Amino acid sequence: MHDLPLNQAVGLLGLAATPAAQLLAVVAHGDARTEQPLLWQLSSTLCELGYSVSVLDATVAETPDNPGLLQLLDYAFGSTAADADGPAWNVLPAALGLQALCALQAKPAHSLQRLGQAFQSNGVLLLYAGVDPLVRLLGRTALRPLLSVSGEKSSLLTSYLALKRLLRRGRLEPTILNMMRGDPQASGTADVAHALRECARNFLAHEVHPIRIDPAQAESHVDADMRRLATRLLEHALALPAGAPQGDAGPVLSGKLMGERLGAGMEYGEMSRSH
Amino acid sequence: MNIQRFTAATSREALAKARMAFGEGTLILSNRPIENGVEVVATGEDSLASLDQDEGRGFNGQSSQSSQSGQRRAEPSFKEVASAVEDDATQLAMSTLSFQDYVRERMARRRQEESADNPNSATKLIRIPRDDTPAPRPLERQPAPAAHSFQGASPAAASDTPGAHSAPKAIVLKVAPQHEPELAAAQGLSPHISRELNAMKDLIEDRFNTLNWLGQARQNPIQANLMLKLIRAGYSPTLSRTILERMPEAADAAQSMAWVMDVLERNLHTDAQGPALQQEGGIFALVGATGVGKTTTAAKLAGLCARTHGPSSVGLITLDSYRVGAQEQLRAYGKMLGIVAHLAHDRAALQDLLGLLSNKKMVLIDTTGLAPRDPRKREMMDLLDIPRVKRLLVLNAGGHGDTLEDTVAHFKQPAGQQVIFSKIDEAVKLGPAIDVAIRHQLLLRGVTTGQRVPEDWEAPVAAKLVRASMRSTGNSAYDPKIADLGFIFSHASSPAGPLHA
Repeated sequence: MHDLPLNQAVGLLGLAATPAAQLLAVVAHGDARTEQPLLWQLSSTLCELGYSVSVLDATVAETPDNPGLLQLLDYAFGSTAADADGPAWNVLPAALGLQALCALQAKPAHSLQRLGQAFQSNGVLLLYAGVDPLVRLLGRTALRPLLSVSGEKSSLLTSYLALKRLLRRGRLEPTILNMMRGDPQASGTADVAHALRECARNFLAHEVHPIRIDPAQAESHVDADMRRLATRLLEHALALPAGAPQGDAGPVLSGKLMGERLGAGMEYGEMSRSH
Repeated sequence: MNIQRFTAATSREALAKARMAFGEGTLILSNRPIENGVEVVATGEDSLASLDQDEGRGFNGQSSQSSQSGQRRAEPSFKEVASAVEDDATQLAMSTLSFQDYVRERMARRRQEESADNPNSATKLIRIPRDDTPAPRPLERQPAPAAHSFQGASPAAASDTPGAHSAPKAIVLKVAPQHEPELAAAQGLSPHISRELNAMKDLIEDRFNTLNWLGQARQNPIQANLMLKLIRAGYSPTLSRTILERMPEAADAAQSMAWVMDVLERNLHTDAQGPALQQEGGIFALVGATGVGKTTTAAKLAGLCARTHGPSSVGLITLDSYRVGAQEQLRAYGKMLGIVAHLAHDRAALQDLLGLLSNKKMVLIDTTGLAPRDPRKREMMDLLDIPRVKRLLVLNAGGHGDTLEDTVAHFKQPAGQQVIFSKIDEAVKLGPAIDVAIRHQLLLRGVTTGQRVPEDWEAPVAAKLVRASMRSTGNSAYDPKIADLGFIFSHASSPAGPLHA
């Protein structure tokens, strides 16, 4: 039996929803120079907001030396507490685990349930993955993945492709984050967010309303913007059911997937607990 | 002119002293409570004529020409005053006691009018010295703000004096212009004079009505006791008098009490006939002064809505980026419910968040607590000026009446203001909160009865609140006595300003 805190709001606890991990998703579309700092800031902000954060980096595959989601799905291998110099959140490789969860034999609801079981906490799971696994795992849910655009040359193309797949294949409406530095008009760079909005309107019949965070502005402003972004994402977070799977067994986890790496973003594997 | 100041422990004693000095023609210029009792400033009726003559000969040494100009200007204003007083007589004709007051006053005025017809007489001006020197002072020379000096012996006080004369006391009202040079220069009724006369007319009406009412109340012990009870419960003299003026005369004490309670209940508007806040849903911004419990009330409402519709039905937004820990407090409540508390720093962000939370049954906006006259209040109200946002004014039910009045006056929106009484459990008297809600026609949506979230919330029940307000709270140093009612009402509706009394 859990000891309830003795305070004026103890009555609220009885009204709360069943405690469950909250799943957020960040789309990896090849713009790592933007996405990695964004993940860092987002994780930091969520920690500041009082959540325990675990980042599942599905651009990196698990290895025996660097276990991650795949191992967690089989057994709890204990705390993944970071080094003393590391961040306040956990970063776990998750490519193979996510691939296993999204195996054809598993229904999406069961996959999410397995994921929830692996993380028996009330914290936040930040899933950083490419579009395809995201669509397979989260398709037709209310979750809104975060899709960032930047001033990078290829950002328009990759972000549009990701947006198109999310909308068409997964019925997932992403939250678009414009992380262009400074004023595009003043700097002479192309306004990728504007172009993406036009493309989405013309070719996808979808209205995009990007949220703007300028990384070049003062740190306090970035922090405030990031906090608003975090609460906004949490509003559409997906609560992971923590109960035991019903019906057929969960996804078949194959050991042969161990050691494999997904193509997209694999070069960013060093992110895991490297900060 | 002989003006004297009398001090005594009670007003009756002070009035008796004044009568001993000036006899039946005593004119009470002012009475006011002082540290050791009551101070009465009085003069004799015959002194007025001499004053007028003195002024006519040259006020403060001015030329007789300017005095005559002042007289010519003063005459129509005086007639207008007299005309206003005659109007009052019609209204007061049914009241024997008050009409006697009026007759005496009219007689005094007629004498003044006759003296005003004397070419040597000048403007009517009585300035009451404000210092503590007992000797009469000559009229001051320097310009002064408009001053109303009046005499109105408290009938209740006078009647309680053993052996005191029961005859009603005369009322004399004199008005001093703001600037005497202007008085001398003016030839007609300027807007300023007109305003002064209107103010004077209102004052006269108010005085007569008050004395009339006090006379009736004194003759009706049930009314007097009910008045005392209402005042002790924290209701304002204005509302108390308004209610008791309409009370049926034939009712006995119990019936009268029931009638008063019924009137209060019927005039305290609640949402008892409609859905409760959590059932109605919508976007509500909790506004109010600092420390009244807006954040806790927001958490209670969130809990109530979560209980009815589930936690996902609630959206929380705070605008409070000023108070240390404000965001964290709301966020902590939100986390207990498993919901997110958002921060909006400006109107665009608020509208964006409202769009984000548009699928919620209830969205609660917690705002920064601001003093009613804080210049930032306007900015915050403008921020909340969004059509779908309904404002819930949170009032500390234990607040002083004047404080609540000030808060409502500054936070109230033009129509349909909804209100929540917080900290009912801490309030010794509920009268002030109910009073302000009745007078401003606020719609009471709920009351908070303690710290527990969300348990200490109750739907507003007018009968229960009124009963609680009329419950005796024991002896208090702040409770008036029956003899104090005269003082309360003699100052209750006095206009703010430089009253020389």
